[in-house]
Amino acid sequence: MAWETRGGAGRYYTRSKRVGGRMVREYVGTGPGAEAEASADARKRSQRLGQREEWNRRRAELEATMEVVERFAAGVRAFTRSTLEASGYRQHNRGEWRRCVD
Amino acid sequence: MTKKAAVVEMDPKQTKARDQSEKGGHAELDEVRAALDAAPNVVKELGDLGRAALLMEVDSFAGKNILMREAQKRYLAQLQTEIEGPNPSPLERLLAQEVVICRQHLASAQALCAALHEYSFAQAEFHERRIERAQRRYLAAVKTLAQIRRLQLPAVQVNVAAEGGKQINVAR
Repeated sequence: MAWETRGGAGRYYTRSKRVGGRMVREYVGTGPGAEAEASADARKRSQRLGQREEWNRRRAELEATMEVVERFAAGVRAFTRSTLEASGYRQHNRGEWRRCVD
Repeated sequence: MTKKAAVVEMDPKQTKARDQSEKGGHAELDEVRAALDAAPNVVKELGDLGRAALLMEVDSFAGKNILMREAQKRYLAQLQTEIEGPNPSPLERLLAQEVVICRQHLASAQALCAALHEYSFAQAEFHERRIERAQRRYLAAVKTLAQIRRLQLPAVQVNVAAEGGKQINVAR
């Protein structure tokens, strides 16, 4: 979103948007109407930015929690495996645990 | 077939298998328990990590609602005690803890997704993936605990070749 000056003839408020995969610049105009449009756009932009930041923060929190859960689960898995192997069990085709009979 | 007929000719292989199986019952379990007791650091560290994971899950679920947070903590502690059962081994305790954590993780993921009103495609995908992974992990944790309990039972199976070529399988 920007104010543009062409040939020294005042300031035009323009906004860019994507139409059918291409960026298109829309000329909104000049004067108080354009000022109002510009401030409404700025409000929406800052709202979107706030939502995006909030989502990024929340996602980082959820991912951190997930990571701790996964670390714990991996530790328990390794511990279970070593306990079973120490007890003479072997995993059959990555599934059932069976006791080795020599 | 009479009881007498079922008495038994076991070939040497079957006898050996039965003996080993019996030997691996209580004695080996006691050995494993002793080994785990002797290595408390691993169990303790994993237990601490599990507690941290559970607290993070509870905080994520309850947010700033202190009542909900405390109620959740108590409920989950009680649930873990129930799943552990009487005299759990350290491994069983860890696995019970994992079941509780994964259950809470799943509940939290589902509740969060259900509470969403407006979301982008990327956000919906993130939540869907999170729920799927949580479900998989929860089921795996339950399965492992069940498997460990089943293996630790002193189950002995005796395969007997009876007269007349019929086979009798006895599990006790």
